[in-house]
Amino acid sequence: MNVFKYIFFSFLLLSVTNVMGQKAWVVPEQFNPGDSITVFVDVSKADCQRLLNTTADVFMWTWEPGDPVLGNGNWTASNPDMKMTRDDANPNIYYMKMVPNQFYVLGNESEIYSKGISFLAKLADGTGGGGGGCDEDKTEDLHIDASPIPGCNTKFCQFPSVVFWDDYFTFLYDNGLEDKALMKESVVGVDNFSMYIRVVYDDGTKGTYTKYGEVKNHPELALVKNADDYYSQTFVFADLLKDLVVPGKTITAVEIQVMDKNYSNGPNSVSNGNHFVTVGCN
Amino acid sequence: MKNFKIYIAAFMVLGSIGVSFHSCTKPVYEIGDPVSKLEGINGTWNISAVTQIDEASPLKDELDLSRFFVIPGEPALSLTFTSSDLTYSVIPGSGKNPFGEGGTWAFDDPSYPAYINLYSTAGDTVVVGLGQTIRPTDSQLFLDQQKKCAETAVTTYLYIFDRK
Repeated sequence: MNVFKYIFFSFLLLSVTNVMGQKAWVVPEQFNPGDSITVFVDVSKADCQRLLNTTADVFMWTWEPGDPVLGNGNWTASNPDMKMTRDDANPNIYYMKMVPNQFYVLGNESEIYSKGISFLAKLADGTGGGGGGCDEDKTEDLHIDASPIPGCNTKFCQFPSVVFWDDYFTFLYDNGLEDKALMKESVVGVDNFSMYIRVVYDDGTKGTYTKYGEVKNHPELALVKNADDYYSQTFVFADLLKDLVVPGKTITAVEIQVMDKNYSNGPNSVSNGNHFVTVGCN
Repeated sequence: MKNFKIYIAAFMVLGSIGVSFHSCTKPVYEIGDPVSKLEGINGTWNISAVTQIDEASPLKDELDLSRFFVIPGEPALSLTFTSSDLTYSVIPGSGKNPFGEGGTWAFDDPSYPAYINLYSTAGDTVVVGLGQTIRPTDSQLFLDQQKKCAETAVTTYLYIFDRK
């Protein structure tokens, strides 16, 4: 038994040491691009110590996964919107709450994970003693790896991320995240979830696969509950949507709504929001 | 007695070193001529599994699409490569056929092929990756096809065929 105690306390010590030794981290560790996250920095753990015990305001200066939408400001005058909050319990810890896909200018949301979050903490005027390095009023460059939450964890998901007209495309719907009472599984029934599909042409006009009231006559639109408790359907746009192809127009996107195929409660039989799929490269 | 033990120990150490050196001498085998990949791919191949890989996802998620390609009672997508005249034919089956209607083909490098160029009779060129080298003794053929955006792979289809 003593052996297990030693092992347990060894792991505990390692974990505590790991957390205590971090300069920067993000909570939660795994997140979606649209989730609210908090980025922390402990300036007492930084190699550059000029911000240690400072009482001045501290600002975030960030460049990855992209430039901040609001802008960093200038090195001698940070954007006030980039001010970090000093932690009540530990005045050397600062944090910034953000929604990554709104906070950063991104070409693609996957850049959040491929690039991670790079930033430093600084005073409004980061010049300090000048000359760069630790003589300026800043921490060194800090980096946090960003990790997505595995699997589908939003109401609507798709696979793969980038879809071409002739690709196999899978649409996923998590009824557990359904916010409309009349669209709960207990009301709709396992066999009655379907897709309602529109296409968007390159001139901005839209085409509809079928009317809401007619969806029940199109079993190819049915969503099937799978072993993971998601409702899903896999199809190829080029096959399913071939009748929506119009000469002289290009289909640039597909919009998918989830509905009760019986449409018995009118608009209340349609889940809020839709899933927007860009066709081809973004 | 003490000296005797020292002699024994020294003998064993020297003996071990001698055995070790002897073990380092490996026999030389002839590896023969390289296996012909042309002969390896020659024949008919039936599809047995398809996987879709999301290369744009940070986790490189995969989805098994085999159920669309291998349906009991329905014909499976089949490829026949003829090495003598470098032609190929396709028998479509369940699932989408990305290989064209048949035509001619060529390895990118006959000795060390990484890709197969399929020149279909319709005039299209389909480039598929050779998942691993293919020898006459291999019972499976691995082909992959990538979709790209600005030269970056976004989706990969991995096709596994069984030799008929």
